[in-house]
Amino acid sequence: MKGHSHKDESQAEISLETLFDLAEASSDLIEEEGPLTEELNAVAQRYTEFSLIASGGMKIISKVRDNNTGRYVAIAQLHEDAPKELYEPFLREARLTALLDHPNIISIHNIGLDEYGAPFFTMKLRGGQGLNQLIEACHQRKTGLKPVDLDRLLEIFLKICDGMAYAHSEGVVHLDIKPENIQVGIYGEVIIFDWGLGKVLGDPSYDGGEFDQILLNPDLLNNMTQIGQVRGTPGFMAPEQIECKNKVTPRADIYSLGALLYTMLTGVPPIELAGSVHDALQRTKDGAILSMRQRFPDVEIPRGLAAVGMKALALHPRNRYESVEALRKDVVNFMAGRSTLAENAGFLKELNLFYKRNLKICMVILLFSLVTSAVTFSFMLGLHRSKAKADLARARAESSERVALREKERAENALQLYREQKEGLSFFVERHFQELRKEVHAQTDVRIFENPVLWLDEARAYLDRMIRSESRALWPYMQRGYVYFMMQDLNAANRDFAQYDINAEDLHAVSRKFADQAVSGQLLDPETLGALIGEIDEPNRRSQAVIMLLYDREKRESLTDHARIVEAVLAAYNDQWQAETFDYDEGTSSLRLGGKGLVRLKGAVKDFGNYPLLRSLDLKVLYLQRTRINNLVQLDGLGIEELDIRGSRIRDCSRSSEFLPNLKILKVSAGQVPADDPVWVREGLQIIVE
Amino acid sequence: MTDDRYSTRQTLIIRARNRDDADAWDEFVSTYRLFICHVLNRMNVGENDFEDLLQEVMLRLWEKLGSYDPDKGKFRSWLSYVVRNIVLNFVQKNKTRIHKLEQFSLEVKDGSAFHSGVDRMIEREWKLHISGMAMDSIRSLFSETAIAVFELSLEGLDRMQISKRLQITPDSVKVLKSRVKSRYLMEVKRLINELETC
Repeated sequence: MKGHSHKDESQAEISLETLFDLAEASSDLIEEEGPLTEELNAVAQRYTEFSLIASGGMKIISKVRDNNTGRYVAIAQLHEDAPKELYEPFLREARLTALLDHPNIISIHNIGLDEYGAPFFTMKLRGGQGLNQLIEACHQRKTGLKPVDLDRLLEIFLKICDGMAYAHSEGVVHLDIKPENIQVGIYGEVIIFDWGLGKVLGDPSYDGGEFDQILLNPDLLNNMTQIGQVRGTPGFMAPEQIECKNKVTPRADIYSLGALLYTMLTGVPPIELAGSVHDALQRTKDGAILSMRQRFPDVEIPRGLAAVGMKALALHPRNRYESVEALRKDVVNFMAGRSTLAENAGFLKELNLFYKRNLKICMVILLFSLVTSAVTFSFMLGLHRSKAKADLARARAESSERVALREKERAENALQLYREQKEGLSFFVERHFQELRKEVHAQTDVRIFENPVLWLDEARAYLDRMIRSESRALWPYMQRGYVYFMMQDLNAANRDFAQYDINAEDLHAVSRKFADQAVSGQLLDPETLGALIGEIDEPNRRSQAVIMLLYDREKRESLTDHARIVEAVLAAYNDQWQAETFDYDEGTSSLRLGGKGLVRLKGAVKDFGNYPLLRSLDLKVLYLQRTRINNLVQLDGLGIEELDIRGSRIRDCSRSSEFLPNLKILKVSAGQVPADDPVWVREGLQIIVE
Repeated sequence: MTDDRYSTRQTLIIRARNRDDADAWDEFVSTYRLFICHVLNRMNVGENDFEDLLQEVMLRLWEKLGSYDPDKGKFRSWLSYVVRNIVLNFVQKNKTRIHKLEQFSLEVKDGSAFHSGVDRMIEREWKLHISGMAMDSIRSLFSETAIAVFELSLEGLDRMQISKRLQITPDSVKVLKSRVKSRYLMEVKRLINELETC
């Protein structure tokens, strides 16, 4: 596999792909060179079970069963009474569409004549709904689009731009882009269809050829206006399309795309069709389009986007975007929070947008400034470990404090600006979902070890906001359930897990089991929490047990009660521990450990390293007689003053001053360690040999 | 020898709904493994994560395969959508571990353009994968020369060039090419029917 080379798009690959499409598109290519009559005769039997899907200007579209392939396809046919003169334009549409091979453009399976000699073509049958229906659904409420809907519509718009940019690159213009001609599937498929008015630019047989003359033939025109629209759709067609003498360019499509964007944002086309068609055409020619914000002063319409739409709708083609790509890019600019070309943003607007784009950073800086004191405090805790470390920490803390103070002001400005933004919370959450998620993960998985209470609270606040924003994502529920679980609020955890518990099914099961013993707003009683930790038996959940331990230490008043939790966590890390001895005395800050299989006093914790499991008890005295603990490194970070290791497996005390700088009394068995070894014996340390 | 292969039987999607059908799982693995390898390669998945991600995609896709509903869209769109999401979820979950994909996931922010790019890539890989399977299965039905004619024609050589290269007459090039091609097209159609429909 690794040796497989990926030359992009080799000739053979392209050919294979083409063949693949051929195989898919037509069922009888096998008789490629077979007689045409045979095929035509077969048509009558080939398509059966017609059912009407839609009836448009020139065509009717039906669902049929293709008996050759045994599947359902969409078939397009002219109206029964359509004049023969329409056959050519109809077939031309099919051929023109077949020219275009793009995921956002309808693909043609088959073109042919039926038993009466009338032309038809077949296409893939599409599920989903028309864009017009979607737009209508999105504009149910009259105060503007919900951010979620705006996002969805813009993504669809970008895909339409993709398809049109491709068509233009092939020299094809559509000339009838409107919501009714766009199909939107459930999996985000966006298909542009009805290329009936399309043209191949520069090809005389398409461009200004017979087609237009037919359409100009007054008799025919009468005929066709009876059937429906002829040369575009008022409200969406470009002014230059109305007068035939004007040369039509891709910028006519850009006008229609502008009209489409206008419709997406406001729910109605730029030119109201209330009056006569003639009236609408006249207003198109005059460029009498009210800007979106003027026409709908009460509706929230993003200024940048409105400007994009109006630029595309410019009366004169040269004032519009020069290409679909340029239009698309400007919409992407808006979505990325940059200013759009069309709105001619001034410095203040740019600055405003810059703050918006970097809002998360600013918020983090603000938070950072709030917790700097906490961070500084935790740095100070490290002081006693070594002088050098302390100096470094202080230097860092001071400099971060300076930075934080300076940034605080800016961050507050940014927050203020943010509050003034109309888009509001959910827009922000939608746009920054992945970053927020990353931030929450940093809080619940990494920073938690600095200060469990602060960061669990902070993560919960973040998740509250994400959930309040009514974003589509379910992940915040699971994560908040996790946070509540860590905070021992099992009822709240259950409520969230019930919404979504993927990747936390085990915690959900445990919280359900113990829920009836939980009282909201209170810590679990020590027995229950100990039992609960015992239930979390997955090795990779032990880190969570340590987090619960840390949180519990901060919240629980009685150290004696807390010791029960320490015992449970210690047991979780020593799964072979039997005949457990765990005698903690709060008065003397002493702990006696014993029993078989107790080998670890430190636990591996994800994203932290080895955590001294006894640390939260602030022990002064530790008895380890006859335990299997075999190395003083297990005691690193405990600050013990008196230690009894008689009969234990510890044989080497050479690094005691490093691991146990506060140690004053060390009790050892005779011969266990060389008691007068100058390497480790130091002043102030009394060694008692028994 | 091929008659029974064309007889009607349940497609893989239908059989995937039956969790206990071990043969279906085996067939799924032999059909999809290479395709997913190609997709992951395209996404520049690093060697360290390759196996994990491959496993993940295979398992999740297998879980989901039976739920595909043709009324809601075409199979290839669905497949691209599902595979893309599985990969992105995996990337999100293992972000600290995955460095090569960092750039990839950052691009996610660019939204639909990126997604539709990935979707298009996955869809194209799927087509090429089916094409490759079709080629493999028709290989044994023809002489080496016939296959060579077809492959050269895919590379864009015309009839005269192929005739010269393989030292056969232009007429036999035409016949051989057309025979292999129609067989190939049948095979692709069979595979589409077998793998993409319910």
